[in-house]
Amino acid sequence: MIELMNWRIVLRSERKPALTSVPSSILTIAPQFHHENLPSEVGLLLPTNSGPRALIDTVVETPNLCRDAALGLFLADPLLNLTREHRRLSDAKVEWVSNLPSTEQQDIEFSQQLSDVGLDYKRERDMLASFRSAGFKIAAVVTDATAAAAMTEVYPEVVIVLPRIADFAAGFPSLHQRGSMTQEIFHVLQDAGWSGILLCLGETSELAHERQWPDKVDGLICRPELVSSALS
Amino acid sequence: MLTQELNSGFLIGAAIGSGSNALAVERGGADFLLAINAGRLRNMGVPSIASMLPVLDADSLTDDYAQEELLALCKKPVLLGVNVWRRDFNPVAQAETIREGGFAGAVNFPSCMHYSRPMQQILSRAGRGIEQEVALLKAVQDAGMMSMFYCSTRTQARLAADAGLDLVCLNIGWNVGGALGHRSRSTIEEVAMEAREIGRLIKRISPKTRFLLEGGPIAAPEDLSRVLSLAPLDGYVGGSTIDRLPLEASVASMIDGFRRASLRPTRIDEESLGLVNWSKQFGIVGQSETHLAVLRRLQALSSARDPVLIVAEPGQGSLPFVRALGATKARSRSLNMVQIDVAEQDLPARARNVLFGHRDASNIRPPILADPSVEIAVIRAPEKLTQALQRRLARALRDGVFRMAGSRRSLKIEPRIVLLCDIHVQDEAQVEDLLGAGLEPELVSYMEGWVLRLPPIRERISDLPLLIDAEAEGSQWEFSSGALQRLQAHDWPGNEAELRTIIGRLAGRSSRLPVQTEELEPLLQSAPSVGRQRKGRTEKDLIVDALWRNSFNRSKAAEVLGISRKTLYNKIKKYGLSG
Repeated sequence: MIELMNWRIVLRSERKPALTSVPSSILTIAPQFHHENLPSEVGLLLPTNSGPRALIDTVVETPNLCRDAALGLFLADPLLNLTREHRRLSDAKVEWVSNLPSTEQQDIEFSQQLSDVGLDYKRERDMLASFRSAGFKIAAVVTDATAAAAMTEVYPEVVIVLPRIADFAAGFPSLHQRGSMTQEIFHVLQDAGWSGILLCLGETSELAHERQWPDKVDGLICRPELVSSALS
Repeated sequence: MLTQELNSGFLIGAAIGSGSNALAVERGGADFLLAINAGRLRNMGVPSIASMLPVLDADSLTDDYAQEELLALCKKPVLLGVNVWRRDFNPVAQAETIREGGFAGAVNFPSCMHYSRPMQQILSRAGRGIEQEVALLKAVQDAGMMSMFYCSTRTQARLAADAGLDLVCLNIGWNVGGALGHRSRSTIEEVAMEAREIGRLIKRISPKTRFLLEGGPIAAPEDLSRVLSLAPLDGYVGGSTIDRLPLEASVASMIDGFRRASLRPTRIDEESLGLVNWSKQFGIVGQSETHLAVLRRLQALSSARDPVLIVAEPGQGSLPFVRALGATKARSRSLNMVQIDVAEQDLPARARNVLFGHRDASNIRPPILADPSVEIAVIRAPEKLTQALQRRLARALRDGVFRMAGSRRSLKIEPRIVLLCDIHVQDEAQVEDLLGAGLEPELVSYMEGWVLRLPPIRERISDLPLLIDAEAEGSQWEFSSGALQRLQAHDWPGNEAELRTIIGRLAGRSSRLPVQTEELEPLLQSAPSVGRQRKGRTEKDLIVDALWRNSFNRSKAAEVLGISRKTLYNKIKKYGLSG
């Protein structure tokens, strides 16, 4: 049995008419282990979760699941056969792909160890580039300025700013903290000449307070919620 | 609970990922096996650290191969890798499942201890942290099985010792080494210090707990040996070091072997084989087409008595060829060969006296050119003889006789004369190159047709494996095929001398694995090129050379050097050349 999660995307009211092509959400697997003290964003990174192939299998079997949604895949998976998956996802009418969950979410110390063996954001960027060349639209997840600059090389339509694991250590990071992070990344993206849609992670409760959203974001991507029916 | 075998002696645990590896480590004498997802992923060609990522569900990945391959094939105890991130956490029930599965026990893998501190804190708050890993292993022990706890810090080790777990293994990070290895983050000494401290702590709390070590910079038995000299350990657990690294090395070595077999010179015909065998007695190595052509000419020249001019590049071994030229004379005994290196003679008169004699010395010893006891007289660097002396030599060689200085008596040239020039000569522009190097036209003209040009290594690169074998005879190592290909792509400006230098530098290497390209690269860049050394002659050498060539006419020498007579006088004085 595989459980799925939905990360809803809500755009600013004034941006909605111009951005009709943006997916309504991102679909990912759900972590095996749920706990109120374990944020799903973090739980998704545990090795007891199925990898991207299980999600692709599910979407291929039930194409309606991903209608209007982007597919969030752990693209650092070294066992991903892209040529095969491009074809399967195209056949399933999937249009958008995102590197979610991402190795970028790991803390710096662990990220460096992943970098030693090429399982880092550069790999995810290359995977996204491959999806891009196969005709998919891209929503790139980043957590810092370096990765953001690197991701501009694949011309993502959407950039999503997520907090790192460490930012969750004292609970869900404040809007101010997420805003500062997004601001910094916005400048890097701007300097690189990128002009897509910038999203930052938000809580459902923040949706109603658009004025409090960080200045430069075009919308929020909501914390993930379980898709109601479990699939078998 | 540890079995009697595991309660004594130095333990070796093997974290492997397939039945074939399990059988290999069992035959190799491992004491126990660990079935963990990192091992399986390594077998799938993925770095161990992927075991901490959402790639494949760790539980089903581990259970499947542990049950179907390890338990089915092996007799040694198998510890199952378990984690605390399942939906339900029930240590007692989980321990019972492990026991029913037929495992000897469990090990906490994948574990919180590999994650960063914030992640560990989050997992602990969610009730699935390191404390639960200890609790699970304790339940396994309480169910009558054994357990091994991976830890990375003193605090974690204390938890395990407090619980009285059977085995505690300090994991010092993901392994370095090989194609998928990590960057080293600590030295062997740092690891040993940490192990000593944590080991002491564990023994103080739980003396019966056995303390083991794994990972980090320990890539070979010698590394472990260094740790053991500083820290007492009860055992070692190998993951990458027991499957990935040896597999990489042995497979690469085997492929190298097959590749090298194809790189060996091809079979040669009977006539050529006879020629090669004939040349071997003089220490000549090679059987390439270019080399065979030289050998044919050498064999023909060896049966004559005429003088020969051997032209070789700096660093080439030309003496074996000289010995071959004396083969007819010295068929059944050692060859009496005398060498005069003109470049080493400090005064032209000395070279002249040695070669042509002097009346004052003729009673003591005949000049070399007329010495009947000398079979071959080798004149090295004849281009450095004065022009007059070169002309005199050319005339003497042509007439077969010469007059000793201060005497009217003609002396017959007795030995066979071999002139040796260490200069770069192109086959198609031989005469021009010889003249350009400083040989007198009269001498070049006389030797024309009797020149033996030795091809440098780059012109007979297929002989390289044979040259290496000859040079590195008795060595315990060999080159990987990649390294051999790199050597074959090298230009070899210093020829055999350069090869000898490189092999000499490799003589003390500690690794028993074939020499890899990366190890070779700095040697190829730093190996002194004889050619380059010659180019860097000192000012004193240049002045002496110019004076010799111009029969010590200082005006002519100054003109050749492009300096004034006065400056030349000063320099002669400065270098003490006026005597």
